[in-house]
Amino acid sequence: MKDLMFFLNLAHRDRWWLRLGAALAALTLLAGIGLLSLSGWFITAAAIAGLAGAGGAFNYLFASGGVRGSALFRTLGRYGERLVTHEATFRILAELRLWVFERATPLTPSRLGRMRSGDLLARVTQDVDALDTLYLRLITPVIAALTGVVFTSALLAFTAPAALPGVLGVFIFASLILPAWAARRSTAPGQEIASQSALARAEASDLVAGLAELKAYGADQRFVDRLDRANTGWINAQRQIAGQSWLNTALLSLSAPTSFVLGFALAVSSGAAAPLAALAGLVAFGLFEAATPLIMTAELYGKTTRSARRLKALDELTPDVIEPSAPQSLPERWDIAFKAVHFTYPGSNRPVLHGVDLTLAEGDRLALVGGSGAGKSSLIKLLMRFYAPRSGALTLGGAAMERLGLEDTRSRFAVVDQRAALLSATIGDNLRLAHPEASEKELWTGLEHARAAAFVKALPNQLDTWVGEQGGLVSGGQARRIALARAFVKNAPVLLLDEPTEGLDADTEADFLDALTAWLDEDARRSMLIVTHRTALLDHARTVAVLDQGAIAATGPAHGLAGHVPEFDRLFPNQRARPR
Amino acid sequence: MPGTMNTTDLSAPNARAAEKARRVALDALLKTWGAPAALQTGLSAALGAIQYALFAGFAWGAASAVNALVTGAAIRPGLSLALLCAVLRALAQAGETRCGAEASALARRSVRREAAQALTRKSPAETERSESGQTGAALIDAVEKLDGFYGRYRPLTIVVLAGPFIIMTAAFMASYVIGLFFLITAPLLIVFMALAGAGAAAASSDQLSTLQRLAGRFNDRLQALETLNAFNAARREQAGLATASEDFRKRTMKVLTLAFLSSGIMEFFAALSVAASAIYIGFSLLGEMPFETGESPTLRTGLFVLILAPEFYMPLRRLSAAYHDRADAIAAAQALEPFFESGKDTGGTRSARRIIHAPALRFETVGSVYADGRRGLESLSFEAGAGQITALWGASGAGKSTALKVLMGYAPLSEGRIWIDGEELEGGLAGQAAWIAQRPRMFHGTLKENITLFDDSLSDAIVQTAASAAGVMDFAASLPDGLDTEIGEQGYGVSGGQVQRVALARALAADVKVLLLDEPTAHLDGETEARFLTALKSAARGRTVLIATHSPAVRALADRVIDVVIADKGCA
Repeated sequence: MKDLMFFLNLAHRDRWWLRLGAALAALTLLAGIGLLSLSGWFITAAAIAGLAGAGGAFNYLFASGGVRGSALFRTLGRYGERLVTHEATFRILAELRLWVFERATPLTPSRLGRMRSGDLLARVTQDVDALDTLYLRLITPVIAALTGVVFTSALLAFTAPAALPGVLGVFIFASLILPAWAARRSTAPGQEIASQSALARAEASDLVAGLAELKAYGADQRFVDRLDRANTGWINAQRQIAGQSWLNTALLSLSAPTSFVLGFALAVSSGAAAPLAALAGLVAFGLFEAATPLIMTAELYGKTTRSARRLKALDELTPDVIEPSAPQSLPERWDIAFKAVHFTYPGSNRPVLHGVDLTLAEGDRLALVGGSGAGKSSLIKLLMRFYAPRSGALTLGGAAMERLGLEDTRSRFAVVDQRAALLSATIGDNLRLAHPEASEKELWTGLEHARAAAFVKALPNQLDTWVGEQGGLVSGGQARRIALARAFVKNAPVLLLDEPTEGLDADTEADFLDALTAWLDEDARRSMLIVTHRTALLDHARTVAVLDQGAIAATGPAHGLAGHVPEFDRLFPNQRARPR
Repeated sequence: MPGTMNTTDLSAPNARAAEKARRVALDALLKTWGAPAALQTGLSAALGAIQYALFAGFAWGAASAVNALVTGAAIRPGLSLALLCAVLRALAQAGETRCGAEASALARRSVRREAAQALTRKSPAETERSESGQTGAALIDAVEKLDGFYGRYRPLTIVVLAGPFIIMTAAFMASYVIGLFFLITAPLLIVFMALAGAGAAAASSDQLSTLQRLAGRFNDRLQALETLNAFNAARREQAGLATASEDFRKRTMKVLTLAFLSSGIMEFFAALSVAASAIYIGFSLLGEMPFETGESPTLRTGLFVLILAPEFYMPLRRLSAAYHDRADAIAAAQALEPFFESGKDTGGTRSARRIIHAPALRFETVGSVYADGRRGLESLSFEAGAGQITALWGASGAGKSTALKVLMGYAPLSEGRIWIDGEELEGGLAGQAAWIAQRPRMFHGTLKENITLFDDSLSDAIVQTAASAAGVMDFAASLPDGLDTEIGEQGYGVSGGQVQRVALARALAADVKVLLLDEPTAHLDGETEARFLTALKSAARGRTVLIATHSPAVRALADRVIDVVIADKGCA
């Protein structure tokens, strides 16, 4: 509950919307109870008066006015409640998302990155979605129900106190005990559903992504059968829950009529007059309108609190790299040096780098090669200050990196990694990410450099073409080139490229490398660090550093390494034979 | 100018007609999928309708009890009737839900099974192009989205007709005035709802997609935080998100102001019916009715219609609450439709011929054009000797992969002929050839299961031999569980070179005589490539091997190299 309140309090600015929404929800409920019970009381009293022949003397103004008033409040209340609660929901959602985004920013990637087990960012996303319903499904129904209970209790206490315990008892049973019992019984099948659905998901993606292999070996039918078994297991687990819940549905449906009978009978047995007994029964009956949403609340409560707790934990995580409180100003030069750098990813016990010494002088072009898992990419992540070395030092322009501001450091580097993550936005917006004030001409220049201008020009909406997850208009190779263009648009003096031509065909690769060299040649101070295992890229570097088992095995020009450094020859067996 | 006018004038109704035809097609699809659960749906609807009759029974019992109290008779019979009907109604409601759930379970189960089955009749080339993640998600998530439609919405479409009819009939029996009230308000209600709903429904579905877009944007930016950090852009994006949600809220609330009118109207009629009944009955009982209605309702009939009144509008309210179930189902049907499209199947035909020995293959001016008109291969002719390694050499885009796909039956053989041991090949080799791509799929399961592809008829000895020959044992031997080690969905813990060796072991265990490899070493560094090629060389013995590649190391391994050139480039 504390965790939930924490997130409600995020919307402190909008608290009056939240309160108004809850108040309207309560008012609508009360108007409903009032309408039905007052009507019942009025009819019964009118019948008695009519029988006694005192119809003309009956003061019906109060009753008929009350009935009409309740009907009016009920209608307006419902409409207002829906509007206001939605307004409040959207406001909370906005605050919640911004809070999460702000917290997650310094924690990515060191604590929430994709590389870490279980992809915590994806879970954060799911947790935020789970909190969507916090206000609308959790808070308002509870407040409305509580108000309803208080009002009903007060009314019954004055009119037919004998009915009170019975009515409250049934209500507590229906809205608290019944859902709790259902939740308990569904725990085991719920877990079964979760594991069966995960299995079915895995089988489905195996079948889809492995279809070419499976058909080749004639194993596709076997996998369809496996998927169907998982499917049946999943559906059967759902059936089990449905099979259990019929009793709950029945008991819940029974609770309102039972409450009427109980309220009426108890009132009668205590000697209440017929109109009040009718009123007691109908008040009890009307109150149960509040019970149904509470069932949903109980179902969501556990899930939502768990999500809230996990999200709140974002507050307690500290990033791997702490920004210095008084950063030193950024040096004029951008020579880079690693000095005896040791590194282990947080949460892992396998050291990636042990004692890396490497320099990239301003204006130099360095290719970093090494077998997979040698730690090449982690060097780039250390430079970007996504992670901090466990020991040793990194310097930029002679200054220790931990003394520099994060944004300052990152402004020196333009990075293109293997994933080439594009935002789902237009091509133009993706490029402007690197340089928000860039003119259209600068964007096109970047695209030219990355050999992407031609295909972007051919798109009907050119720079306004939507790409990324929701786009799908560009291929993997094209996405890669847009990411390259983005790095050029940033116009940072040091390019950090991690397998930049992966996914490009040979022609485009050659084209791109020419452009890259041209771009570097434009300004003698521009430097480049390129991680690669492609032979074609080696020629564009002046120096090659071989990373082997977490340390630099050798440094030198490619032709100097070939035939002399076994670690290099193992990686590029054809390089030796190649004519120079 | 007039010409342009004409086309625009024509295209709008055409687009609308096309849209409508599409809706009809999707509805038909949803109907077909519901067929296996017709009985359960009907039962759910019947129970759903009966509960309104039982509710009328409850109302009559309750009204009788109050009436008895006033007249001094025993209240017990009335209360007993009320309780009995309430219990039966509760059971009917539970049954309605249960049968609905069962209908949904049956429908979803069969749709998922049929979609998976239909998928295997397609060419992998097709699923490759549409994001495979999306296709997998459709099998799981889109099918689940059908739940509300079959479980709730479909039975309700029947209940919404039967329920109010039952209540209205009961009301007529008690008081024709109240019955008439229902009879008149029902169409009025529907008209009002339609008026308020027509604009709002379109707008609200639009809003729903905006809401999803907004959530999508947030999730997208959250997932891309590392990139945003790299470009010092996180703070800017955060500001952008704030403006977007503010914008969204304002626009949405404008629409909702209209959309929620329909729920207001519904509430209005429900409240009005109670209030009108109370006032009419009350004043009649007091003898204060200003006009003559020709009937004199009693307390019992009065209370009866009073309790009954709100229930008259209940089915319609439930249906409108379940309306999004239908929208979900339409969206799901849209996602699943491609599975069931016929006619484009290019992966269905398999050669009837059994291949027992390594065959000789000959391509004779083979060309391939995909269903969407893309040309994958132009007039390729070559021979691959029996038991030899043949490399297809050339730049990407020249059609090397397509040539392999045609042979497998994954791409259409549009022109030319393929000969296998001197006989013309009909259909593809799928089912009796190995397929090793750039990144072979690692299935969730153990190493051994990845080698056998869950074929239990393969003995341990066969698997062991295949694993050794393919070089899998080189790394598997040091694993604590050996070949029984579980590997993750994407080959977690298994490196790129190891994945290729597992794929090779598959081919050896299945003992197929033809191996087709598509750029198998494109992602490997030189050392790993060399190790894989050693294993491949020994595995190739007694098999016909075709490798599409642009790696010099692979080229060096081949007995024969075929240059595949892009046809129009070659001509020019």
